[in-house]
Amino acid sequence: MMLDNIVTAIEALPDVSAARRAALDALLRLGLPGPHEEQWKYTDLSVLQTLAAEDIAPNPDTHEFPADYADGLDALNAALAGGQQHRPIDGQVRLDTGRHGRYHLTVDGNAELRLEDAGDTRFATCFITLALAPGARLRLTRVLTASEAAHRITRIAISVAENARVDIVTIDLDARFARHDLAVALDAPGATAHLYGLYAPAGATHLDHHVRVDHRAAHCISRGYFRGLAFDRACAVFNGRIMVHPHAQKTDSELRIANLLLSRKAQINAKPELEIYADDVKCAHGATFGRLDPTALFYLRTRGVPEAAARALLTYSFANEIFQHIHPPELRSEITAKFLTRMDGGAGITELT
Amino acid sequence: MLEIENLHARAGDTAILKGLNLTVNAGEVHAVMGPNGSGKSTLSKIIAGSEDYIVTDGRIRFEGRDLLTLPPEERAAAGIFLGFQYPVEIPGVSNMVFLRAAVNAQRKHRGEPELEAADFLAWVRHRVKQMKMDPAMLSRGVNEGFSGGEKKRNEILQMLVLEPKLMVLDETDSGLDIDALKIVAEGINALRSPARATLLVTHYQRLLDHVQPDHVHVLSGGRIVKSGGPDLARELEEKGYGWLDAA
Amino acid sequence: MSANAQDVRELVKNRSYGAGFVTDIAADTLPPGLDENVIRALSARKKEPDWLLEFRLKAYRRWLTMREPRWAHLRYPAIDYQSISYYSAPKSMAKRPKSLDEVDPKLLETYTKLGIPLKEQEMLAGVAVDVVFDSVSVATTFKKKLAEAGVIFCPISEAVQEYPELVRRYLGSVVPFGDNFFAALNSAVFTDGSFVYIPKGVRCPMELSTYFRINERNTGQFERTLIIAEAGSHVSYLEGCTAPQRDENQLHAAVVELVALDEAEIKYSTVQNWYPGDENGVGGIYNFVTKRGDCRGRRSKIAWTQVETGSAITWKYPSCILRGDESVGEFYSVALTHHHQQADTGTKMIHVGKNTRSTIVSKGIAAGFGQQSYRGLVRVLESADNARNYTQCDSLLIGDRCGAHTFPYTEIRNPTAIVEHEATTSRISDEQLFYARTRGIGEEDAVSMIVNGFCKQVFKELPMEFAVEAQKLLQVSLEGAVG
Repeated sequence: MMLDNIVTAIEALPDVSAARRAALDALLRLGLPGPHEEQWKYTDLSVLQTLAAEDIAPNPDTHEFPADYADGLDALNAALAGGQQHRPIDGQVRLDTGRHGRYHLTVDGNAELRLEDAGDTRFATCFITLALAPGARLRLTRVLTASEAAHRITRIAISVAENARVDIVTIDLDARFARHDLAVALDAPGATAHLYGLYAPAGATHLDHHVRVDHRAAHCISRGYFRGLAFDRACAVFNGRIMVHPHAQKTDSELRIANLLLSRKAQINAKPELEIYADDVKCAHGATFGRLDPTALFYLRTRGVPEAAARALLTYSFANEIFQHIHPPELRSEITAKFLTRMDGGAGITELT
Repeated sequence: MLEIENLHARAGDTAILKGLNLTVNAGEVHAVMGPNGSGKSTLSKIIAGSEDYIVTDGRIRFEGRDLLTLPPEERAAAGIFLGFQYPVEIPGVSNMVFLRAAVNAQRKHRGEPELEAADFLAWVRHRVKQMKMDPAMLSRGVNEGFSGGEKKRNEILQMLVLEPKLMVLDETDSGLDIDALKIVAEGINALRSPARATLLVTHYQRLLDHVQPDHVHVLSGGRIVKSGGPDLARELEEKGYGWLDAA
Repeated sequence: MSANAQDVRELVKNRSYGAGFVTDIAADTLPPGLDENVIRALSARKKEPDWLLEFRLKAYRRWLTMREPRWAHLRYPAIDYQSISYYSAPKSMAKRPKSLDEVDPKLLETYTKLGIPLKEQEMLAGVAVDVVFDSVSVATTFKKKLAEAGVIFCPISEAVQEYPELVRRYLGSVVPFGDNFFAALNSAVFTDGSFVYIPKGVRCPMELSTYFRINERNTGQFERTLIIAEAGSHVSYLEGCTAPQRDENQLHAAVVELVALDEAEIKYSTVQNWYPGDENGVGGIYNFVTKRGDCRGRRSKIAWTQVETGSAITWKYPSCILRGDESVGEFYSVALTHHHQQADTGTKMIHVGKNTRSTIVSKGIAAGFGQQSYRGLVRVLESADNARNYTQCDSLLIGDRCGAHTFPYTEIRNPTAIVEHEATTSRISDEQLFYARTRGIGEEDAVSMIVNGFCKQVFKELPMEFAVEAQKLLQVSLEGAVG
């Protein structure tokens, strides 16, 4: 794949460190993943070629660079972010993921991390690793409501130690193109992860969310509840993989995906995966595709609710299963309102929420 | 028929039975009562051959044979039946298939010919009727989706079909309403005979009102701490188990 | 487990694959290797028309440009396609025998040993059999009776000669010659297989069945089956497979094409018991199969039922293209992997027509070091208004060294679709085993009973006699799995 725009943008920086140059070399050597790879079956990164060099906007600051890279995207992010920043987090922390960034964050106590991207930059990559110490708690909220021209690639990897717990809510509404990888590793007994996510692309958006939970130790719990809605000509991709490693006995894991297509031109590709190498486990997953319940629609209309409003109401209630987990309440209202403006008849519901 | 001598057993590192002695003769009904955690369920599971417990000392003889070396299926064939406190669900395996496999396996083990399908069916139907159960249950999976009460009734049905010599019933009365309790008790009484013996393991007096025991034992701290007649059960019902420690 | 039981298991371990013997028979076998000359030689031996040779050569040239798929959850060493012989037939078959009396008695004995007597009077009434030995069809029974009903059931090599128009019209119309790596290879080198044609409105008077046997060392088997059900017709077809017990791996790459026209119904059942390799994972068949049914007509129906207990490697996704409005696709599968067997199997349901329905029930059982993957695709195209799919996918693990995996792809492009996928994982619990044992049922019987219960939904889709076979096969395949 031609990466001229990336190279040009980096070369244009006032000062390119040797480490950043090494990251760029690694990118050129490794290349970007292609559609033949199973994890990239539905998402084509050649879309990045459409970006002009001036839209790449590498971060001029320089931080620490790793010695090697997991793949081409990892190198791309390091080259654009100018290396990685380390810091412990505690209490409430907010990060803007609408700019290139690379972070390694540690949580010892109790932290709330908000990753927000309502930006109008054309391109941003944000890679975050998070390590939870034994007994730590993290509430992670990631919200994407960027401009219609935004291209985003994020990768979040969380390791959860003994008796630590992470609660994650991801909301993806607007962008032109987004690929998110979220990986949670339950590394020691008693680690717990609860994941809630909504992906609801509209317009011509392509949105791809890959979630992976690794049960690496016995007696860990994971729950994943995701809902997808596709409006207009949008395409949503969701891949949720639960991997139970050998010896991770007494794993308790569940993943549920529900989808609703709202247009004849929209599409959703969903794949819940289970990979299990231990026998004494409780693992279940399910995926459904449905439509707005005609009986409920009819019922609302017999009560005098106009059809558009009835549809909006039912669509909202489908999405609200996820919205209700957003914390704090002000953020929840803000996102809900934004979601409702998409639909004719949505305005009337705003007051009710 | 059943002789238990100085039985010691543990689960993992926890000692549960600590020198239990009990003799049950043919024709007798014994009730073993005791507070939660006293080792009642452990005792019944060990008699049936559970591998969850390790017997560290003592012995169990059944009709003169050493029971502890036999796998569960051979104990069943020898005539021991355990009615489970929590009967197990086996999805997709119908009650009929399960019962037939059990009956024929036991007959085979005893050197008897397998039952003809028609004879078996008639036999099972008769027992189903006796337990006032819906014959349609026979084509459902073993305990699959059964309520607590249905499961307990199904245990007694299996017992009536298999006709064991020693019936060990672990908390069979729990989860039953009064009508179901009567049906279950009738099932148990139907098998009472001079050649058979019954060991009722229970927390409450309830079942004993319907199945009159000859002997009542109190199990506490892994040992029989008191034995007596039917009156002992009523005394326990009134006073609870606390007074035993004081005594 | 008692020491005694252990000894018994040691004894049965190596006897459990009953079909593992070799028939000592003189064979006409092409030397190993594959190029255009081999394909020409093979085609010439079968006296094929030019169009078929062209079909083969086109496929071969396409195959050369393709790469072996690597996305499956399977691990196996690279296959050396030049070390395989692409044609082998008993010498006695050089002149096609006109009746069973002319068939080499050694061949007949092979099938008797496998429990498939070919003399019509000895056979299961109501089942017609075509038997394929390495690269050729040996015999087809009940041809006359079927012909009276207008049904054609014969080796595909014979159909090429006798019904060239039909074969030419439908061959490659469901699985195109370049469909995938293994299908392209098959299209280039396929040798024999069955051909079935059910005329309009005919309900096939008996079950049709093909029995595939690999015998010769270092040969691959590349059979090709084509079933055409004209409007309003109905057929139930069953295939079975076995191979000798050998230390090296052998390749089997089949293609099966089904065509169902308006209101036609095809029921296709497979009991696959290729040699699975030994308990250390040595030997066994590599089974890479492309099976696809095309519901071309409205209200047509194709149902796949498979019981997969054999093969070292299974790569197989019997699929339905639901083109006709209101057409129905079904897939019922039991797949078992024990010792070091690996299976990556499932289905594809492609909804094209309106009001199309599909049902998928998959039961995967993994024991020993076995790896078991369900991989299925449900695709609803924009045109498929009111499409419905229900998928249920259950895995049973026996022991903690095996693996069971689920990879369901759903690609939905129509807002009126209703699709449901549900997957669970369970094991045979100690409680279940103990419970059964306290009722007097031995451990192995209890395991096989529980496994059969787990598979019940699928077995009830099989023709009666084969359901019994399938249960026995599972029991044998699971010997020594617990303990």
